[in-house]
Amino acid sequence: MIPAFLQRPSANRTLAGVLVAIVVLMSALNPQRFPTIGNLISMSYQLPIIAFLSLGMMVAMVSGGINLAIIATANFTGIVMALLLRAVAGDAAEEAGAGVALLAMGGGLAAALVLGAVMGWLIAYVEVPAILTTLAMMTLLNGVNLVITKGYTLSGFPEFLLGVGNGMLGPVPIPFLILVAVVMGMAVFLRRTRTGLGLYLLGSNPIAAGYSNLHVRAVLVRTYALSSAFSALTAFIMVGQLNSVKANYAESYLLVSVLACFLGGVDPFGGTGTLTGMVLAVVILQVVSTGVNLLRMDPFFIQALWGFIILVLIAAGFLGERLREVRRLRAARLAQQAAPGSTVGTGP
Amino acid sequence: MEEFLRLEKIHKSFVGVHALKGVDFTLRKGEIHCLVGENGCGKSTLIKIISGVLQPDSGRIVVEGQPVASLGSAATMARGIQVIYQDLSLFPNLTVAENIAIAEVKERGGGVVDWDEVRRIARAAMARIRVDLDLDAEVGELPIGVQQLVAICRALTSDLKLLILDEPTASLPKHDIENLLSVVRDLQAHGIAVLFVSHKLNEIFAVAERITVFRDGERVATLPPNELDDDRLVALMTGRTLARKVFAFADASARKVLEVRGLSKRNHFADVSLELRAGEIVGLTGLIGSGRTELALALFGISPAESGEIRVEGKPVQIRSVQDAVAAGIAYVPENRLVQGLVMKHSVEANVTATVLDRLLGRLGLVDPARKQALAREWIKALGIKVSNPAVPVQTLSGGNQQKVVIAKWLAASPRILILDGPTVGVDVMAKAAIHDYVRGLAARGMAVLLITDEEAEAVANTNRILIMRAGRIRDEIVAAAAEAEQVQQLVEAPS
Repeated sequence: MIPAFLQRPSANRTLAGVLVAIVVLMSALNPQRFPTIGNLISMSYQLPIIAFLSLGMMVAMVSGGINLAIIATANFTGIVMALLLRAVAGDAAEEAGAGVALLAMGGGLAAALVLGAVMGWLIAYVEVPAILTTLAMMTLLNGVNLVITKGYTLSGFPEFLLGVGNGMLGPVPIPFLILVAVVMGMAVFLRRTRTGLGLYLLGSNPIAAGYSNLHVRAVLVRTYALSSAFSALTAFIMVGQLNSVKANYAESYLLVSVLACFLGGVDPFGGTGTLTGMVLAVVILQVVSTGVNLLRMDPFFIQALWGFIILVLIAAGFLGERLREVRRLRAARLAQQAAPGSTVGTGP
Repeated sequence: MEEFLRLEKIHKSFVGVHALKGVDFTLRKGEIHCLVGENGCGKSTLIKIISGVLQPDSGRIVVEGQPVASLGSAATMARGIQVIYQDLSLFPNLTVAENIAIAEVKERGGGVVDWDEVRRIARAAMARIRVDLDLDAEVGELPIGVQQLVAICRALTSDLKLLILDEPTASLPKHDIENLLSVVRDLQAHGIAVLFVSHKLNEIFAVAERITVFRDGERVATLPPNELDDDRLVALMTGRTLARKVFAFADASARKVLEVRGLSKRNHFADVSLELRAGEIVGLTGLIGSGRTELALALFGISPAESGEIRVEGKPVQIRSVQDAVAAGIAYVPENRLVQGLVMKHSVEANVTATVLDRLLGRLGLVDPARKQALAREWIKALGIKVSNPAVPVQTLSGGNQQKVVIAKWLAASPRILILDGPTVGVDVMAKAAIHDYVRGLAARGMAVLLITDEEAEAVANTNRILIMRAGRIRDEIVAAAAEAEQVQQLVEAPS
C-alpha cells in the first residue's frame, strides 16, 4: 500500500516543502555552482526525459497496471526513426530537411502507438496481467533493438530533429517548452476528458467502472497507447541530446520512473495519483541528481546517496504525517474539554 | 438464568462524538441476545468494548460475578469471549483444518506442528456444531456461508462462553442463513451465549430470546421477542413510527416499456418472458442460482443472453454490452454495491457522474467541471444523501447512503427501466424506508421498475406483481396485494 500521506492533497504541499528544502540545502553546499542561471538552464534541459518517462509510467499505474516496456519502446522508437531516415534520405540523412525529419518522427510515434495498443489489447482483452505483458514486451523489444542495431550506435540525424531535443528558444531549452505544453495537455486529459476520468475509476475498481457504462477495455487500450506515446516523446528528446540511438540507452531510468510515481503519490494498485504530485516528484529527483553531481562526488557514491535521500524523504513524510495526526487529536481533545457539555450526536 | 456479563454505566466518546452514554447491559449465560439499532447507534462500540478492542472511558465491567478493570483482547479470549466480524478474519490461503486449529496450536506452543493434532482439533470443533467440512479444502475457495462455519469452528476450539456475531447474515444467501441460525441454536444447547447483531428483523424474531435496541448511544429497551413486532422495533430504533403503505399500481393499462420473449442463456436461464409497464414495480425473487441475477445481468448487457427477444417501448433492441443497455434506457443497481456498484475510494461526485460523463461535455468536447458538480449536488439533494460535500470519498458514507449513491448514479442516466438487485441489503431501517419511498415515487412518475429481492416481505409490500424463478425459469406469478410473505417463500422454495 502507498502510505496515506502521499494520497492526501496535503501530500503535494509536503512535496513542495521538500523541494524547497533540497534546493536550499544544495545551494548552501555548493553556492558557486548550484544556484546559478546556467545550472537552472541545464536542469530544465535534462528534466524532460525523466518527466516523460515518469508520466508514461504514471498513466499505466493509475489504471492499476505498470509499463515496464517504457524504455525499450523509447529505444525502439529511436531506432525506427533512424531506419526511416536512412530509407528516405540514404547517406544524406544528416542534411535532410524538416519534412523528412517530421516523417521519421511520425513513423516513430506510429510504431510506439501500435506497440502500446498491442500491450493494451493483451491486458484488456486477453487479460494477461500488465506486469507480464509489459515485461514480455520489454524483453522482446530489447532483443529486436539489438538485432537491428547489432549492438552499434546509430548516429547522423538531421538538424531539425536535433533541435527538438537540443535547441534553445532564447534562454529556454526547447525540450522544456515541449514538457510544459505536454503537462498542460495532460492536466486537461486527466481532469476533463471521459477517458481520463474513466482511467481513475477503472484503476480503482474495474468491475464497478464496467457496470457504470464505461468501456473499460477501450480505456485500457488507449491508456497503454498513451503510455507508449510518452516513450516516443522521450525518444525525440534523446535523439537530439545524444545525436544517436542505441539498443539500450537510459535503461537505469526504468526504476527511476517507478520511483517518481511512488514519490508523486500514485497508488501502485491504481486509481489515485495527481499530476501536480508527479511534476513535483520529477523536479525533486532532478534537483537531487544535479545537485549531487555538481558536488563532484564519486559516481558510485552518488548512486548510494540518491537512494539515501529517497529514504530520508519518505521517512520524513511519514513522520510529518504522524505529527499532524497527533496535533489533530490533541486539538480535538482540547476543544472537547473546553466545552464538556456539548456532544455531537451520531444519529438523526 | 445466571448472568455471564454485566456492563454498568459505560461511557465512551471518540473525538467529539459521544458513542455510548452510560449504558447498562446484561447478558445471561447461554442466551441468544440480539442487538439492533441504526448505523452509528453505538452497537459496534459496545461490541468492541465487550471484546476488549476498545476501553471504556468510565463504567464497570463484570464477568461471571467478578469485576474486571478492563478487557484487553487477549484477556477477553481467556474469559471465553470471541467475536466474528463480518470479514471473518480467516486466512483464505490456508485449509479448513489449519484455519480452525491455528489459534489453539499456537496457544500450546512448541516448535513443531503436529498435523494429526491439527486435524483432531478441527474435527472436534466441527463435531460440536454438527457440520462436516472437507478439512483440506482451501478456505478462500469456499462459499461465504461455509467460511462462516469455519470461523465459528475456530472460535469453538477454545473454552467458548460468549460468541459475538457482527451482522453474520448480511452477505449470506437464504439457505445459509437458516443453516447459520440452526448452528446458533446448537451453540446455545452447549451453554454458549450468543450476541447477534443484525439488520434483518425476521431473523431477529426467529432466533432471539431477548432483544436489545440501541439508539444514539443509549440502550432504549431490552425485551423478549413476544413483546415486540416489526413496527414496534422500528419505532424503538428510529424514535418515530413509519407509515407502511402497500404499493398500488395506478394504471394497469399503461404502455408496455419492456417486453422480453423467450430469453435464454445456457446453464443460466431459459425461455424467460416478462413485461413491465410504465409505473409498475414488478418483484423478481428466487433462490441464489435460480437465474434471477443472471437474467438481470443479461438485460443489462454484462453477460448477454444467447437467444430471445427484448423490446423497449415496442421496438426490438439488441443488448450485447452495457453501452447497448444504457442506450436502450435500462439501468441496473447491482447486488454487490462494494464491488460492482461503487468506486469506494473516489468521491460521491465521481461516482454519481460516472454513468453520464458524455452528457456533461462543454466546449471542445471536454467535461465541464461546473456542470459535473452541479449534477452531483442535485442528486445528493434529491435522494437525501447525508454528505457534507460532493468531494467526500464514498467509503466514508454509511451503507444506506452508499446505496443511495448507487441509485443516484443510475437515475442520473435518466433510464426508462430500472432494475434494482437487492437494493436494501445491509441498509438500516430508515434508509430502507427512504429507498422504498423513492422507488415508489419513481414509479408514480412513469418509471418501470424490476425489483429483485431475497426478502419476500419487501416484494409483497413494494410491488404489484411478483415473479418467482426456480431453476432458470419463471415458474409463478402472483399479485402482491393478495399475497403473504410466507406464501411467496413457499413458492420460492418449491421443488421445480
